Amino acid sequence: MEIELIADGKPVTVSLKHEGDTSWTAEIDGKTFSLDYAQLDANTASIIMNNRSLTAHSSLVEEEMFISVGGRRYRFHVPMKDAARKGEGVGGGGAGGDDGIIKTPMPGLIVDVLVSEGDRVTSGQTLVILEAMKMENAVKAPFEGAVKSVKVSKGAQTTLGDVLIEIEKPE
Amino acid sequence: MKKILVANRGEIAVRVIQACRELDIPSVAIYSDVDRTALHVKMADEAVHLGAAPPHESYLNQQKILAAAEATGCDAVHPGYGFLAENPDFAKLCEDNGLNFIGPKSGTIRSMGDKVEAREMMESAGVPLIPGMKEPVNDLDRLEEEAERIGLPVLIKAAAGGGGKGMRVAKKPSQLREEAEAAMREAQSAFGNPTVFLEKWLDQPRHIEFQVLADSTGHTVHLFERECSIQRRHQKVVEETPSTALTPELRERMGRTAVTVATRADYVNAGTVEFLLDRDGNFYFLEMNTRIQVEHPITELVTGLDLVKWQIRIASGEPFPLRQEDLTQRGHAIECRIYAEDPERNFFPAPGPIRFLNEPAGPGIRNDSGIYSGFTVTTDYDPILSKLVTWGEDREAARRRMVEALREYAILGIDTTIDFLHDVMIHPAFISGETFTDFIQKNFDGWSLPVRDEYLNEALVAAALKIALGSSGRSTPGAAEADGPRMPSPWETIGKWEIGSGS
Repeated sequence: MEIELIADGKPVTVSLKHEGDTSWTAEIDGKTFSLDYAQLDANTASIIMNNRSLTAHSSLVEEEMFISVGGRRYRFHVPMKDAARKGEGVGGGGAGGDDGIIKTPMPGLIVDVLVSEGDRVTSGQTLVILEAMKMENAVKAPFEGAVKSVKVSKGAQTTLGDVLIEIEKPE
Repeated sequence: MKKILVANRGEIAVRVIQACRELDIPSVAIYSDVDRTALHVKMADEAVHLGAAPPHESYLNQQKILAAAEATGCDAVHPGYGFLAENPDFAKLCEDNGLNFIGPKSGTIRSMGDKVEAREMMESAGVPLIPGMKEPVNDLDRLEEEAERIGLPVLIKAAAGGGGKGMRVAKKPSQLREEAEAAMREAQSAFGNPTVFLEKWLDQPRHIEFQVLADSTGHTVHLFERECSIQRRHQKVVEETPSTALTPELRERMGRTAVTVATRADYVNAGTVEFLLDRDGNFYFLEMNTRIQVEHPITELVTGLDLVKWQIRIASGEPFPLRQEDLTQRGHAIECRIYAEDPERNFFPAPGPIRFLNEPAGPGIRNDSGIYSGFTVTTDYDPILSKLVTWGEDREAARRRMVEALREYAILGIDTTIDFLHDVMIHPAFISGETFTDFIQKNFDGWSLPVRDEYLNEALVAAALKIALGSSGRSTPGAAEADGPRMPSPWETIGKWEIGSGS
């Protein structure tokens, strides 16, 4: 069985083979691991791998796998087969996309819009001030470019994932 | 005291209710629509629903809280921190309605809450102050003139401020207007008062505060310092005691000044005197916090005193029996504040449902928490989840214990500051005690969650196995299924979920 995951932006394939009872063989990037795996409850598993005895806590929410093992927390993206679910964000997603579409990272009140269509912006320049959880938060430009469109105005209430501003990269 | 209404939510409400239980005093919780199943509601003896989530309809609604206290027969109110804790009108309302407000007198809260009046009062008592403006304004031209007089950089502070809200730094003349405007807007929306004032900004200061305790007979002591220099957005994230920066002589001098401040303010109950300490050992009075502080547990661990219980006992009229010379600091304590925030994105709040929780435990570990597995963190309130505190015989022991406790702490489903705090604890500047208020800015600017190779393969395998076993509907051969039906994994129930529905 092959499972595809995306770790730190890079795709990784984990090949699994059930060897019977709690024994499994896993292969990642040509490296083979023998392990003992037992799921203790819905979110907890015992793993003994390379003689390291570990407890893994995990939770899968939409396409995001949250996992805590060995005192470190990891977050993997799990590409799902169901195309209909693709493109949906997960709570607390990023504000500044590489595509220049700036979305609200969380619901809040637009306190101020500091740019207009056609403006040149520099990387890190404040575009919009959003108030959420009683704090003002600056939504900044992810890169240098030109403001293609402004979708919100001062005083607007936004919900998670609303598009605020679109920025175009210079040619 | 017959019964105490706890006018707060989250971890501090839980902490106060716990103290009430141990004192055998019944407690009443209050809650908003989104907190029906919150931990503080579950723990209290009684709970009264106040209204909708926005604070002015619930936790800030003085009339509703007063009515709840009357309806349940409470004779005292504990305000916790935040919300109405430092609102003199609320303290006065309690006083006028025969409710024992567990804190200082309303007049003291009023004087200390007015930063200008507090400065004047302390100046006349000979307490050292930072150079700054005498009165707050909402006039940008005046602020520019004053900034020039005081000399940049300056700190812009809301006259009615607290908790970092309405507080900004302007380092260059070009930043002053933008920062002052933002500070005034924040001040207006948070406190209903847009006026701000300027203060000289010190280079690499430390934030050192002293806990004080005063009983109703006027007997006042200090319970030593807490160093809270590690801050982001002017909010503390790590606190410790003792401070690595204080000599016994300086500690004694600052402690004596803290007692002077409390006495001058006619203070009763637990309070905190905040100072800035510069590199040359000069200290300046910042403000007095007239409430229990978020970081009170570290003082409890090194002094052995239960501050929340003493708040209640002092409010009941009990004298505090210990003299200053009876009090000592034993060992070292560190607190890490666990927030639902994304440290990779400038500590942006990260609300959502907690899918799984594993709290650290063991000798010398304390976790003051307001959450549980299945609890949903909303955007309506402060994003604090819990305060992890460790005690050790010395600083290094407390630090090592904190590193291990943070490693053990798993909160899955939302972003938290746990990994960030772990990296703070192992940073050479923290290890050597080089903790100044620019610590995060200087050492952690652009910090990102490390995908460490150390356990990456194990994590990948665990993730893959969870997906493989979950999606095929095949249960793992193991102990769990012998006890009954296996809990469905989120994968199996994924079809029923809807983003943003709060389910």
